[in-house]
Amino acid sequence: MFSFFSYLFLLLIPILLILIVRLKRRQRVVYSHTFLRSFQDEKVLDYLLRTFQIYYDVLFDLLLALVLAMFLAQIVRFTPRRTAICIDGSYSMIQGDVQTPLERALSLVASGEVSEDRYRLFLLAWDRRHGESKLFRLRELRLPEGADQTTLTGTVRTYADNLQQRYTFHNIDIPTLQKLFDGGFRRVVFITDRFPSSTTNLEIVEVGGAAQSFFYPSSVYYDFSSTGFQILLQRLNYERPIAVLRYEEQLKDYKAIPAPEQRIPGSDLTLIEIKEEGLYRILGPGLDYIYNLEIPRIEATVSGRYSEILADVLPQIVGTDSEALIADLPYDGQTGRRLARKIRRLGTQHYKYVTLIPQNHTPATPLIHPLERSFSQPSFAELPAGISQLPVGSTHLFFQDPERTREGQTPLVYLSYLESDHPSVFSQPGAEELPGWKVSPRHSGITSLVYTRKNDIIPVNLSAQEFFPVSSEGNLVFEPRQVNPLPYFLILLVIYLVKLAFLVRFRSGKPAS
Amino acid sequence: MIAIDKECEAVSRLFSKKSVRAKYPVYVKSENPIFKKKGTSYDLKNLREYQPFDDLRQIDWKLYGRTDRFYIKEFFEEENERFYLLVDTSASLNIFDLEYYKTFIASIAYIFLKLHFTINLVAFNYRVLETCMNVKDEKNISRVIRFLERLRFEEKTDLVSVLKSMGSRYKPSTILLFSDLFDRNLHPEILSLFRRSFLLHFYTAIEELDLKFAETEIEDQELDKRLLLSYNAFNRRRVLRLEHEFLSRFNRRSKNYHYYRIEGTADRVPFYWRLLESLYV
Repeated sequence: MFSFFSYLFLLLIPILLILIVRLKRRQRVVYSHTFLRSFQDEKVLDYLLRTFQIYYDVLFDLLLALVLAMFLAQIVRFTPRRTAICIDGSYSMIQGDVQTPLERALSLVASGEVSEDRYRLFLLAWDRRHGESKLFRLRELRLPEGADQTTLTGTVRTYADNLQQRYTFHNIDIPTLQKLFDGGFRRVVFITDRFPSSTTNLEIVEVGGAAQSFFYPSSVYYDFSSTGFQILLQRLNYERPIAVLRYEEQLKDYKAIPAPEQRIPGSDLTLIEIKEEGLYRILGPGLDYIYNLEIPRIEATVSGRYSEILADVLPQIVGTDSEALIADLPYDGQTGRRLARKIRRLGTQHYKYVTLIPQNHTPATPLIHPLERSFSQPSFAELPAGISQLPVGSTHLFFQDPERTREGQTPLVYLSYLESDHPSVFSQPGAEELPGWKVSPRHSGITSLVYTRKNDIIPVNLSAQEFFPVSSEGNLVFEPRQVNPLPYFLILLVIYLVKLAFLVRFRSGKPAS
Repeated sequence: MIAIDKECEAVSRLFSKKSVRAKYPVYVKSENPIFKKKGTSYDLKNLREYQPFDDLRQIDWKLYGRTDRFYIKEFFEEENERFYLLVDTSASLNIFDLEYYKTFIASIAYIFLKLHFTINLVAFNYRVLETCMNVKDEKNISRVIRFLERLRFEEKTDLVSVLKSMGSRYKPSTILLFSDLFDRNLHPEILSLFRRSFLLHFYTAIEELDLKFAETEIEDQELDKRLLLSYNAFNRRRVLRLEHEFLSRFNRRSKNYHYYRIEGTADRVPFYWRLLESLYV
């Protein structure tokens, strides 16, 4: 870790070099000082002025170096202790019969119980346009003078209704709150119904409201072995039978169908099997799930040994003469940029799938992670349940972010490799951020919605954490902004402009030749 | 290598036919007529009785006729004007073209010799260093050249003390001062010590140094001091103002001195002409 003086020393080196060069290149003339004696007999102030005229640029350079060193060493941070209050905008916040957690949160904010300091109000909600969590700035919730409880309730309810109409209460990604810290807030109060982590530097205000009785479909897939759709549900104190409705052909009417439930021992999971294709509605407590169940069939030309094995164990892939192609893409450990370029090139040739394999490895079995219990992690509902053995290595289903790729020429990349063989570049989380290879599990989860839309499967991709006290998300400690660069930038700009002004002033006009 | 300007011959020939403006040919050594040198002029100095060592031709026969005694008539010595050429050899002269400087002095000395003046050369810096006295006749110009070639330009100037010392020691009536006049204490009033003075100011304008708008170190070899200056528009104006003040001191018209400023390596002949015009009608 560099100290202030280390930075200053490093920054002084170029200034010193420039000074030496100036000394070497200094103009020297021989002339009498007879009538120049007033320069030598000058007062201290005049002497300082003359010295300033000579070394003003060095002086300003020193000032710049000093400010830069202070910035780099973060001596003065210019980060006032500002407060942000952020309200959880997830789906569970708008669930409730009498009073929703959102209303409770707004009541707390309006009554000033959350923070006595000045604050800015935000909502962390789902951005439907971009498919990601986003922070929305909210106007301050003001109550009229001398408002009683009835007025408070009415105002809060109106405000909450407006929020529900305007914003999408769906999934949220709590790490998005880092943007508040990046924006200079040093104190962030997060009002939520239930916070999953205990290790955090957020100030958490829990307003409760997690459903006491609930179930949630964690995955829907077609099991080719049993020739039926299997819907895996996770229950929380929900003891009533689950009703499944099937829509008629014209979608005008529906009827209840028998859906035998099968408890999976040792877990809260329940399996419902549906044999026929069609549009189904599963009635849940306060939320219905609609699925267009269709046996997934992907007609594709398969090329390559590994892709053939993959096609064998993915029954939805039917090998025919099709424009879609599943092909091996030998991978010999080249950089992510080159690999991305290679995949893009395949995309231009109508390759729909690419099986990325280590070049020197021919596996006997494909390494596919069982995704039934993956909740909303990157998953593919059509994967068969028959493959249950865990692979030695890890498996990911990657999509390149369509917003970040050119011309949408992005094939699906099914990345599967052995732990012992896989290039370390993919085993590191940071590797996913390599330039030209902008993929991430979060994006793949979202993009899978887009992809599955093609197959008319509409999975409800709410996070299971919305309803179940699953394992904590781990460390949710945010990094406060170390230093506010704007004041430094302004100071540096001002110093530089003043230096330029002096330069123009002293160098303007040409000496007579 | 010091050479005499070839135009000097023509210049001196032209001025030899002119009459001198004042009574310069009469040379008076002493203010008291008793001690003035006797000579062959028509100005009577003294009458005294004949002594055995006197020349018989000097006996005033008319007076003998009236008094019946032998008297000798003595006259003042008649001699052309002697010019003192005071040559500044201080270190500050090094900023000029010294060959030009020496050639200038040598050429003027040659013209004076050609016009049958007697010249005395005095080299000085803060004191009188060397002299070359009583140079008469153009054939002796080699003495002048040798004198000039020997000069070394060093040490600082003290024009005031040198002029005072010259005035008291040689009592010159006319001086020609060749100098850059870079002496802080110099004031033209000091020239009242002499009957007539000619200041030949060798000067390099500061603008001719071709200074860029940059960090500039001005070295004074005389004082061995350095002035560090950011030569910019402000300081340029200040320097030019000081230069103007310095030069304006000598530009004042005064009856006791003539001032000629020779800037850079200007053509010398016009200055010879102007100098001689000041001497002659």
